[in-house]
Amino acid sequence: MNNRKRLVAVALATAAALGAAGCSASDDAVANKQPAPAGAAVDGGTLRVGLDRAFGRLDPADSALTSQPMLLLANSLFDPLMVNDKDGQVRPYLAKSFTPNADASSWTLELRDGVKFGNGRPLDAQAVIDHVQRLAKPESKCPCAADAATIAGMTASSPTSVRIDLKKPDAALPNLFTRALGYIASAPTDSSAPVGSGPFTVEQSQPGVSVTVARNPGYWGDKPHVDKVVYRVLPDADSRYQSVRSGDVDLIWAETPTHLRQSNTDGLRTATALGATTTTLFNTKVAPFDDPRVRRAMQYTIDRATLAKVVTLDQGKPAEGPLVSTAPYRSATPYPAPDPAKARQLLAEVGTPVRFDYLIPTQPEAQQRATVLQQMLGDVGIHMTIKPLDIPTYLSNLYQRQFQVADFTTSALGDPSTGLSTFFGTGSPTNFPGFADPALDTALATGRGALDPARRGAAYADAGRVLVQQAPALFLTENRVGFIAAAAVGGLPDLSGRSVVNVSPAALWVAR
Amino acid sequence: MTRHIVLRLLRAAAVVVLVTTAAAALPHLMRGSPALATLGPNATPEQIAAFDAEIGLDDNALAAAWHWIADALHGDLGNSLANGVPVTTELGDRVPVTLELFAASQLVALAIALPVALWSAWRPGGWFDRLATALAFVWLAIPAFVLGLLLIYVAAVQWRILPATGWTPFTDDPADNLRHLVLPALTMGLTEAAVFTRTLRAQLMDTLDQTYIDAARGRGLGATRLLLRRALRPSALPLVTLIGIGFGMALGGSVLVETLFAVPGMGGLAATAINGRDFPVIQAIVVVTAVGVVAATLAVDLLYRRIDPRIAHDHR
Repeated sequence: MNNRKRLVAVALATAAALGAAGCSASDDAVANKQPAPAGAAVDGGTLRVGLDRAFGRLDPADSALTSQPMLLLANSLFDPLMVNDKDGQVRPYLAKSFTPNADASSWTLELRDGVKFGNGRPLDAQAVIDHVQRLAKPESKCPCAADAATIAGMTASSPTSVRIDLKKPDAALPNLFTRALGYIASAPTDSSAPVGSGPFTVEQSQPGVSVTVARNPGYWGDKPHVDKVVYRVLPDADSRYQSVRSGDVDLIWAETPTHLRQSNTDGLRTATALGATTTTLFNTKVAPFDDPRVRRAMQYTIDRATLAKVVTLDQGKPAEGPLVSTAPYRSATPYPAPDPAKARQLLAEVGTPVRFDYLIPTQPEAQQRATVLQQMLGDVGIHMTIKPLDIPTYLSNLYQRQFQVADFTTSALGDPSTGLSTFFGTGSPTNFPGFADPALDTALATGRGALDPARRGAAYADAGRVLVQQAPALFLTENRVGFIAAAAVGGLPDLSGRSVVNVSPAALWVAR
Repeated sequence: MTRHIVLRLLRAAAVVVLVTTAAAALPHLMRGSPALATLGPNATPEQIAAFDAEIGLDDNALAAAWHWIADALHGDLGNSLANGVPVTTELGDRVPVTLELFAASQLVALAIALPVALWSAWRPGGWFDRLATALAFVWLAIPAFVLGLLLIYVAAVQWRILPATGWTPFTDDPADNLRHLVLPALTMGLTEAAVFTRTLRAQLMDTLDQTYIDAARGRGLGATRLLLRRALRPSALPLVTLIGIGFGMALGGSVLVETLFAVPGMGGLAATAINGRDFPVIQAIVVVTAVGVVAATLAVDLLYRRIDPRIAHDHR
């Protein structure tokens, strides 16, 4: 019996050491307690990276490759035409410039001269047109097909110049070229994967397991520091974190608050951004959530500061509206402070008891968030049942609007032009709430069509106000996501001011 | 005897046909839209139609099942939707990894369970038996992923003697392959050891109560010879069943352990395929697992006859 007690005690103590129990919190989640490796950048060697998900085809058309946690791998093989910069603005990367006409209905893309794909073929205007047209076809299965469909025509006016004519003006067109449409690739053949112009080329790949990339000798940009990068798929968050602690890998993708907090005390370095917003989506087509008063009542009930403290362990912060704090054109939205009395008053006006199923994806943080919400809502008499679903089923329910209320986390709210219209614009396939509001649509169309920053800012402020007042969704917390690295990894950029975690592996080095 | 085996084979074939038909009709049985779940939010109607045609959703369920089975009989299990690789190639890469992990975990489990169960059953109620029973309960109560993380923390993070995650194929580097094998095999094996110990101990205690054992003792047979030569063989039947069924199930891979340790076996493939709604891969794994379980059950049946001739005698 004593032995048994001792064994349980050892198990519990180890579980605490593994991060299940608390450790001293960092006062400043952004600051790195672990300084960068001393001295100049080291060239050579291999960088070993732990990714959180399997990659399918190494093709920009594959949505997995262009998801935020995989952009490090995508940036090895492909160069984006445009990139999200630290002030939230989009600037040219592979492109030299991207300029609109007077009403943003036509754009001219200027390319760098002499850039070549990894296979030696020139990356010229025609290659850009071929790439966009390939991704627009249904068989490419690219989620970007809808974006490509806004293009009326593309013309190569010279080997380095492409004119893009749009079906309607779009001042935010460059934003569409930061991921799939922008990662210019030569078309795949039966025997070969697509080839990009990136700093590395594929040396060896086992889908779903690992991919090794080696330095591209003909790269047009700054030469990468490391000779090779080995990307390994480590789907379990806990063992992935232990892998960077034990030195099996040098760098991992991380979203788990306990790991981000613990990394400070484990002698690891971090590069993170507020790259994910957690939200609660209402199906505004079904009762009682077709009544804005019920949605507002929940808005007044939820204490976002407590959520940030309990669920993100102060690694994130309370959301203050539909756009993340690092997004461009963001203006303060009067997001209401918690007011349970006001919530009860609204519920009393409605008069019917509010009971609903809350759909969540099967992830520990989602479960934790839902449990806290359940308690908060219970205090004002709202009865919520948590319904966890595996991710594909959960997504399928969202697309088909077979839900009442759902937990939803997205990295798209750093971009006002595409983020807001994607989730709340009338008729958008990802408008999960089924929300339709003419004032919002007008504001979004004005913002999208306006080249003048002041006009755009005003339009997005209007859109933000509508979304807070009508509450088709509740914006809960902005969460920190990004990389945790061994102390020997140098070249990690400061991502704290960015809305998207997008790092080039060419900038990283390892002091071994 | 022959009639019995023929009947068993027919029954096994019927099970495989049923499971295969169900697996082939899988996309039709799913809730929601597989196309939307796979293609994501901005899928156009044309994309959805192309996807449905690719996985046979534009056919009715029975026709789709028939086509799938006809192709499978020609060795064509289709291509993975996620990466375009033929499913047979995926299985060829992953089945050996899973089988190696299974074999290693069974060795760990048997190496612990055999001596512990023999000693426990020889002196039931003694200090060793009580301690072993208590420990077996503790092991059974610890979930595999907690045990796995515990082992990673101790061996990889604290002592730094073994890798935390990953895999090296045996053909690339046998020594490194073994280093990567230790922790996942221990995680699976230690949990199995508790089950094996309890099963074998109970069976051994029954056997040791038999009169032929008393007679052997009376003839002065030593404890070791008595246990190993007289008692172990008839007591091993439930263990053979456990290992046999375990082998069949193992073809599906241990999703939990393989995901935790990033072992590229069938379990990891199943987890990725299910999360990505990669139907051709899921269908193939279901069928391979079913065939494995049925084959293993048959093998166990036949092995029973070899281990205990009384069973064969009953069926004559």
